[in-house]
Amino acid sequence: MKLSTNPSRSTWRRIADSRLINALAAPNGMGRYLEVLNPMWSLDQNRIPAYITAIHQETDESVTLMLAPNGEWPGFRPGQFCQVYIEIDGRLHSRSYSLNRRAGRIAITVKAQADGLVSTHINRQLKVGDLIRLSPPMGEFVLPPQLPGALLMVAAGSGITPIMAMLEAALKQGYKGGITLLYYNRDETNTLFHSRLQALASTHANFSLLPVFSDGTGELSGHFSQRHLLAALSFQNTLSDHTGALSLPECFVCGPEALIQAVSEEYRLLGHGEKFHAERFKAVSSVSGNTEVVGTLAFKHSHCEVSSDSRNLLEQAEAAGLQPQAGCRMGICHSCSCLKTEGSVRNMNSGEISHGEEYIRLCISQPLGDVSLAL
Amino acid sequence: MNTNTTAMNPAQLDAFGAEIEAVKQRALADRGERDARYIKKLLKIHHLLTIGARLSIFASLLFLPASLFGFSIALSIASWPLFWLLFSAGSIGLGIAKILDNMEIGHNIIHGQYDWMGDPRFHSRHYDWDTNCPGDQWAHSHNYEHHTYTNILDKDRDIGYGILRMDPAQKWHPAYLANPIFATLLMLFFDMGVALHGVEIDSLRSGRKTFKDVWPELKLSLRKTAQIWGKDFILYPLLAGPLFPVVLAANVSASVIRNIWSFSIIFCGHFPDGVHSFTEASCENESRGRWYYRQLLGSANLTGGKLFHVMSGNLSHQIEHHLFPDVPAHRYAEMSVEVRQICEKYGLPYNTGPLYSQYATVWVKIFKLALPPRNPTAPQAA
Repeated sequence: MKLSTNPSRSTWRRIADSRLINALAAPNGMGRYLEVLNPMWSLDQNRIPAYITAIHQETDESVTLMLAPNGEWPGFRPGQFCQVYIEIDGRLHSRSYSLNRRAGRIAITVKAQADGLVSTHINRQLKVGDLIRLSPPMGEFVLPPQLPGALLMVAAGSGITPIMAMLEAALKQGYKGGITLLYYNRDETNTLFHSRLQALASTHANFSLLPVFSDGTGELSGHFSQRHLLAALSFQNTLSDHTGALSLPECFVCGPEALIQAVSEEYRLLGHGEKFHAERFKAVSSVSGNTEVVGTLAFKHSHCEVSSDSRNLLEQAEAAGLQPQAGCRMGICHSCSCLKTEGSVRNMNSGEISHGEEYIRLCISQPLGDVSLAL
Repeated sequence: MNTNTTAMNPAQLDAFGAEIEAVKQRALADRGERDARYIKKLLKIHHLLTIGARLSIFASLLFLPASLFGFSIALSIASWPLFWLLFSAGSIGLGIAKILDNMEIGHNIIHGQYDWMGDPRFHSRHYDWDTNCPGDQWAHSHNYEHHTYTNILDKDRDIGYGILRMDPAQKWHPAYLANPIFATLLMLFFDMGVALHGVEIDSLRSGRKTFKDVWPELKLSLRKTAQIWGKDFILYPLLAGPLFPVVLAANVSASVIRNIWSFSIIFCGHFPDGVHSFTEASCENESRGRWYYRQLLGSANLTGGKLFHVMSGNLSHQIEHHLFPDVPAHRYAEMSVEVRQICEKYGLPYNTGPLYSQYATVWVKIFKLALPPRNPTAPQAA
């Protein structure tokens, strides 16, 4: 069950989770007994319990949960996210949310999506004192250990959450380089962290905030363009002191695919593609809707076979009436990891092809011909 | 067992099947918080009972006359009843905890009844139970073979478990004279029996498989047995130091209590009088309606109170369990009301009775079938 090992684990947790103690609680281990006595004594390193210590209303449709996880929490780097597990009507749902630190607590900010079951539940139903579960932090969308001379951050909507964590961390560390934030929103009232960002801009001379509203009320409006980029760069000295050549700041983008593509394109054209970093909130869309048969899909343990199409294997398994373990449905949480005993599949995120016996993630695997799964 | 079944034509079977299917779909659509709360509560009871029982066993050691002998003889004599009280409470408590784990929790979780919760702690692929047979191995031999081919002779290895003669259609052999002895041994070592059954150890004798075929599965089964027996018969007794045998005795008693109870409940599921068995030929190209019909006629229920149903893992609702193996079992009681009405409507038998009378017919059968059939040409009706 263990995917991660936490070096900061306390001694009692190491002892309780040792081989001998677990042997006394075979076959499911001591953690199961401990969590019945007190949920915070859980030894589960993949679903770490956390109490909600406070809830802040950020905008009309978004809240920040302040969380106190137990001693299994390994800490995180600003910009990382985790899977948040929430139980709704007996079913455990998971979603990815960016992590931040606030007032010594872990904070996640969640915007209620129009028909988002989990985000609406978090906004309307959760209360202080409720217990939720977190996966260990993940993701490589983080600031480099050695901070670069200047930073450009671009965010849209709730894409601000990992950017905010990086920004606050950099300023708190006493970072002296220039930071410009180009921040896209519908209007001011729907802008997450609006007053916090303004306060940061007024207390830190090296931080410039450039809000863009699609209702046209700000200085800038519309979608990202070269004009926006130049406006952002105007706050910074972009010409290298020594050579006079154009030097773009290290760029971090989080938002919808179109925004990421647009910024990436500009950086590439200006020859600074290597300074571009982006975080996507949704998996790269699959060849959805294509129902042409590609082969036979065999579920060995369930003794059932169906003809497969190019949808991901998780959807096809569910369509066949199976209930495989699943989580994020975007290839990050490994809940749906399953042994493929025969056949080839394409990783829909990386394009990588897996042949033969191998563990694969069903939610991002597309069959290429006949496939057999130990499911 | 009789093989000539209440006749129903295909159209009637389809109509019957559709009504049973509707009961199932209603239950599946209603799954939610109530089921999650139930299984969590049961797991909590199991864990607390296990902790309490093990503590009680160790607490009893303090009242062993031998431990107190140094203080005073009177005290040591007076402590006897206390020792026995704690020792028996611990043994029985641990036995009950094992029964809860094996039956209502483990059996039902491994059936996938709670997979929809999306919680690995209650997921069939991740849960393992406190008995010798590894959960995933059992999921195959039981969920697939037994539940698909229920009571089909030569297909359902649960008929007699490969060592007993439980159906008159099984060919008699002199070895079956020991039927009652084998049954008693299987009852006492039911945990091991289930584990060996899972790896099809009996197919070695029939020559259907070689040792090499069986070994990979057998290895996993033995590893699991070492884990469970190691815990109960070595690790915990070792914690008692010189009082090793006392803790060992308590844990052995707990296992045997679980074994006798599980054997009894499980044998009452398919072997009482009036349960039908089927031939392979009669089940070819079987419709869904016919499958439901076979599950109904091939199973028998036990009557009892709520606690009895929980302790039997709701296998007391064996009929409902076989009709709806992936519906959370605590719903069987309410579903059985509708199932009975449907059975009445179609004039189908619904085999049910109290534990003592159903179990008595099972033992009568164990003894009767030990003997060769009086008229070897025709299978006798038991």
